[in-house]
Amino acid sequence: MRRGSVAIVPLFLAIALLFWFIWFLGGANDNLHKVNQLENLQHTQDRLLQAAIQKRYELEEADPSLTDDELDAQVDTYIKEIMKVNSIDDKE
Amino acid sequence: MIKKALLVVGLLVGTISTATQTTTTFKAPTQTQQDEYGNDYFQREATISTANFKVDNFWNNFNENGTASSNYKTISRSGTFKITTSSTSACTLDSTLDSEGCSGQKPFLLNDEVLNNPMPGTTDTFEVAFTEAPNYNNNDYNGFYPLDILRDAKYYQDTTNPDDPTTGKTGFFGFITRSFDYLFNKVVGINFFGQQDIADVQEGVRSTDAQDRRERYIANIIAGLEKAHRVTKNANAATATQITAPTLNTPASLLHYAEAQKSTTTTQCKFMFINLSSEGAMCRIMSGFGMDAWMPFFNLTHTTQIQSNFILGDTENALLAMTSQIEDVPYMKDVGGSDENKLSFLQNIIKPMVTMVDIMKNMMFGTDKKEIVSNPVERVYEFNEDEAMTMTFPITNDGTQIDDFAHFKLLKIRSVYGDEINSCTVKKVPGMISPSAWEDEFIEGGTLSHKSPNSRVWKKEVWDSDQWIDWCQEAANKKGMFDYLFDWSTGGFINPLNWMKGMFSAFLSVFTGQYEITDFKNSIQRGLILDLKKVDLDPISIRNTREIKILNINTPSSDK
Repeated sequence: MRRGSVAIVPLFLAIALLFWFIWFLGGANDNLHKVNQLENLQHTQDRLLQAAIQKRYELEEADPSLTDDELDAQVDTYIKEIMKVNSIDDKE
Repeated sequence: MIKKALLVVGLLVGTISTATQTTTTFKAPTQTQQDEYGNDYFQREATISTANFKVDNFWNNFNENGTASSNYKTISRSGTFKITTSSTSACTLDSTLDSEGCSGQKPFLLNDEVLNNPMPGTTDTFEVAFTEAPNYNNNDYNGFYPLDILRDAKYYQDTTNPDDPTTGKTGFFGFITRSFDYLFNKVVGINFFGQQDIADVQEGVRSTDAQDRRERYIANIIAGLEKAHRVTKNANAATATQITAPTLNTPASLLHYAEAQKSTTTTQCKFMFINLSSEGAMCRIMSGFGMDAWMPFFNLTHTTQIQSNFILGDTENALLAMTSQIEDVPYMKDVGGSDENKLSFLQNIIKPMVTMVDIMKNMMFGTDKKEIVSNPVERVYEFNEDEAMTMTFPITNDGTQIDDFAHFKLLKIRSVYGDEINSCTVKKVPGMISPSAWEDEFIEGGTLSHKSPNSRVWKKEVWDSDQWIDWCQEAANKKGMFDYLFDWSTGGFINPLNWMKGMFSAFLSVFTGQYEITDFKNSIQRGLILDLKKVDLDPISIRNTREIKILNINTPSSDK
């Protein structure tokens, strides 16, 4: 064994640290990963609120004969489609 | 079998209940209210809620203690929105128009008494007579005034460069001017802006300021005051910065461009294809001795052009121009007028014969009746209620501050006009035994003056207004012999004595000549009545502009 090969020890340590970190992530409280997805959803909902109101009036403008229930249903479908595209709602 | 079915149902219910689903719900809007600029607004709440939201934990594959996924039953957000609607009929016509140009507010003040006097049989339709601000009277229920106050010297975008070349946006004012010129050119072939002389109230002369004010006024009528310079409720005229500094008791008004009218009469003298000077000897001999009537290919025409730029006329034309665009029906009418007699080749050949026949006809039946003072004429323009232009008017109680705003649909424009004579020039056409010709001018409130050759014998020193109008009227209308025969005003039966007199007078006129009006100046009196229907602004109408703003978003709710 050459003396110089001791230099590989820090590398092994680094790799071990990486594995430990992956293991740590897996076992961590799900606060850590829900941040991304949950917050994302909430932000998406924020944005879509305005879009929903806007869409409702646009639909009404396009066809004033639609009833309130019909408009609500159409907007509901519209938002659902956006959610599906964003892989939030399950595709039926 | 039943077990199997239950299992299927169970599985189905299970899948549905665990599928991620987003639902959107709206609450009913709140009562409509008015903001400080008179726009309608209401609030509405919307909720978006996602059920069964699953958060997957990919990393749990690397740790035996990790959770594979967590499921949130509902995650929802709700927010309140303010939906504001402003009446911007004109502005919505052009999608490239800079939205800053249009607020929908009109430069008129509506007397609050108007709203207490709906038209008979209705509760929400009002007949509003448009009058000038100087006639303001707070007891009047039909007052309607041009308003141009409460905004600093800034009114609209630069007129020299109305459009923004970089953004391609149309300027507020550029749009208005162009659409007007387009309409007027198309319909009556005149240039609406720039051709008429605008007099300044204060200086009494045409000025660029006055022109500027007029253009601003017209732009304001149709498009509404610019957004940045809207007037607000309770704004007080006396305390505000104004371009024309008001005295303390100046009612909220005023547009300082004068009502001016110009009528030009031009005489054109033409022989064959040659235009002769109307002041030249040839022309004067021909017209002075009445030879133009007998001479083939000699043509003497008087062309009268009337140009007027009344506030009422402008208001009417502006409203009509805009409604024309909205309804795509040209409602324009000619603002000036001219008449020219042109004879064809054949007519020129038989001219002496025609003239003779005319004289005979005039002797028997009188000349064609011309009313120099016309009876008031009413023109009514009715608009389709669905398509009608919506307008927002400030309401005032005493003319010094804006108490309220109201929205109306313009259902009808009624334009009433008649004219008033200011001066009249009468010419005596020589007859067979009296070859002398003369011209007299009568001016309201003044004495008659001799214009040309002063061989006038008939004298009357003092004119009261009726007499001289009658005189002009008589010059315009000559009675024929049959008119005297059936002169109902003298008892309604055939009066032989009167007839004899009339025959003699009509016969005599052929020999002694007749009076003829060569020129008269009159001023047109106008009235403008608008039929307005009070409405709430509809947020989905294309006549209005809708604006949605987030008021607040509630704290997100989520449960596991």
